[in-house]
Amino acid sequence: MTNKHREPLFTVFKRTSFSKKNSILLRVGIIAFTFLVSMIVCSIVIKENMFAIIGTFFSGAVARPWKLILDACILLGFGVAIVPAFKMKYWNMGANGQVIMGTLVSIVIMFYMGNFALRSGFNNFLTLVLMFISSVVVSTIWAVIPAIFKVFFKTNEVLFNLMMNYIAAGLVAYTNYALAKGQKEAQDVTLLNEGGWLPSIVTKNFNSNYLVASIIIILMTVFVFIYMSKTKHGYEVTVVGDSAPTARYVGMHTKTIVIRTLILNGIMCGILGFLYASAINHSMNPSMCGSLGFTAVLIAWLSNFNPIIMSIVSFGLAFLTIGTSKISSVYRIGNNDLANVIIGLMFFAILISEFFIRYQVRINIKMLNRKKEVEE
Amino acid sequence: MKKFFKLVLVLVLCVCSVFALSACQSKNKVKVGLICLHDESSTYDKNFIDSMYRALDELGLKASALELVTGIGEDNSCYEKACELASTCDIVFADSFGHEPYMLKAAKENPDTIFCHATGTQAHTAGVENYYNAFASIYEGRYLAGIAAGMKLNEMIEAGQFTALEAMVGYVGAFPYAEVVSGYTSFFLGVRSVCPTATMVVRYTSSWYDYDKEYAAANALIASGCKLISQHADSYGAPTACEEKNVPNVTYNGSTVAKCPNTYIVSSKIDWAPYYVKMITAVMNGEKVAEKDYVGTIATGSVKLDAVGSNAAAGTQEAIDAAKAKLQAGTLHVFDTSTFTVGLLPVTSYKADVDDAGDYVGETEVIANGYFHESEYRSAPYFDLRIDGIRELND
Repeated sequence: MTNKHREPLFTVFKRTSFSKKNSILLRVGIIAFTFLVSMIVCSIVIKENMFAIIGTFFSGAVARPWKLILDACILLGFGVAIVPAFKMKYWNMGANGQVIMGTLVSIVIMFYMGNFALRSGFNNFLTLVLMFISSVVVSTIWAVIPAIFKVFFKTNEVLFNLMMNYIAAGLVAYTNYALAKGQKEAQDVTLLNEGGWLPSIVTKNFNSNYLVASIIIILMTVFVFIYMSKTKHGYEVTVVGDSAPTARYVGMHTKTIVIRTLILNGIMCGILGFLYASAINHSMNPSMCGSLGFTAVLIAWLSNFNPIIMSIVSFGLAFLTIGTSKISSVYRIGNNDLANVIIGLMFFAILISEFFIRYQVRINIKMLNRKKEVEE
Repeated sequence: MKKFFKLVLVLVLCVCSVFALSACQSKNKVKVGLICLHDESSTYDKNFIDSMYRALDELGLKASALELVTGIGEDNSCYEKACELASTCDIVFADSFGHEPYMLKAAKENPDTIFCHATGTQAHTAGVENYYNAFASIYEGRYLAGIAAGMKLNEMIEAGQFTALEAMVGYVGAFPYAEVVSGYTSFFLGVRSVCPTATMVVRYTSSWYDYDKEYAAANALIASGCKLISQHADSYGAPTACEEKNVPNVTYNGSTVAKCPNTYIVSSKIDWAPYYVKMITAVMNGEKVAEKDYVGTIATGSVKLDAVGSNAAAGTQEAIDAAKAKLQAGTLHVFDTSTFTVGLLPVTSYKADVDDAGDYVGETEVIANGYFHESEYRSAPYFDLRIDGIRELND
């Protein structure tokens, strides 16, 4: 190899010649294929008929339809909440922390006001309103702090937000402990009476709280969609995201736009936090959101910030999560490790298929030939 | 394109329904759910899981009748899992104390499924029809284990290793709850029934499972002059410390003879299989169990002692068997008020916090006919008297 201008063996460039129909077919095909492979893996691990396992998967996933919809909506909610910030290329990794801070204040109010409300006939509705407002305010503060540091001191928002997540988790753990003093169990406190709960109708297969929470999140999604595509604010966010210097050049106040967008982000996280406290969990713990804040990033990114695709992906993921965890329990694996492996495989396959749909890889045949010549 | 999508959708729906139907047909006669705090790596949860498989065996059910979930914390995930299991199971069990409020919440919302919670306290007051508590009279098992410990102390005294007045027992406890207090007091009364000069020191670790803390607590007890160690915590910490220092150890939740062959004396444990058999049989026959609290006893086979170790004193097994017979005949009571004092005074009346309203105020008189009626008014222990001869140390 003597020539100085070595060409790379692989070249990756953007694909333009892929029809929409083909790309959808490819995605569906990849997902179906991966699902089949993971079911084969399951049947080998569990030593059970694959079709029985697939049956368990589907019947388990739809056994509690409202829970399925709620799980999908929560995932969607996290995704939607971070969309404006991500569109602006502000990498908000702190959705978890922002949501649980909202839950934290809601639970504290629930703890003091809820008990008081039930005893004194104080209006439960007012308690709920107070919870809602404080949840939104605190989540917003939590989201805006890193934004302020970013725009004025140029700190890195990813690290800052991750750190804020840890602080929030610590505060939740401490508050649980502090509220529990003199009480039996921390988490029980807000479960014992229903002050500060959204009024609900609950039967074996239906929970109106789940429905209310899902509807609120769907409304949130519609709002974000309109905000991003039809308003001036949304347009400004896109411009700042594409090129901050351009935005400044055309006279946009980028600092204001960043902080304004993060306020919106915080408000949505606050709503989620409020829903956790009043409708979904009625209690809190540091790990209650799991890794939803990070999964949401993946979902938003995979869906290209398109709310309809985000809804589909969220639903698919919730379906997969519930179905696979049912496999774990029915076949007495106990823990969720196998389920996580399947979900991981799925994500991996989707990421790879996205790559090949968006980009084309060309192997440099000339290079290969030249190599051969050299070897010969 | 649209047509194609419709076709795919219809196909998917067809396949789904076929699978759903086939899932229905292959359903067992009865489906049982079990929720565990940890997995088999914890001796506590392993005991529950193993007991469940034994119970299924006894009932002639296949293992596929069981749905098992492990690693469920004492938080809302327990409620979600309980509801999820209720959608397919006829009866759902949970094993950890903190699962209770979530099980109760799930029970209220799923009236067609029976919910059983081990070690809980609220079934008899909650008024929820399909919710049950269970425990065992493990204080009897600990009393018997205490006899083995006392005889070992006597043997060492006779061998001249220390004087009768130096016979001090160390106890590693998790938390100062009634469950632990009841356990170490019954153990101590067992010790003192054969070795009257014995005293005891209790150290708490503030954790149910912490190897290092339990190891350190046992070592501290040995250093302060304890001649024998027992524990109520779930790791191998205390037994290992005993094996290293060659101090006899009376253990809980299963034999440690494999890992600690030189110091293992005896082990007491709860066998949950009889309870599982009873509840599952009731569900299979469509019967309703009336009593909210189940207390397993020696007679039901719920309270068990593992084989006495080779290091135990001669005649230990015979002494245990004799005491066991008396306990079963009702001529011997573990918490006989003539055998202990509180503040140097005999106890004639005590109101225990049986109805758990979170107030820590006792409301039920539990002393009658000369003994403390443990686990009679509800299954979970409520003996929390601090008797003379036992010293508690907190970190």
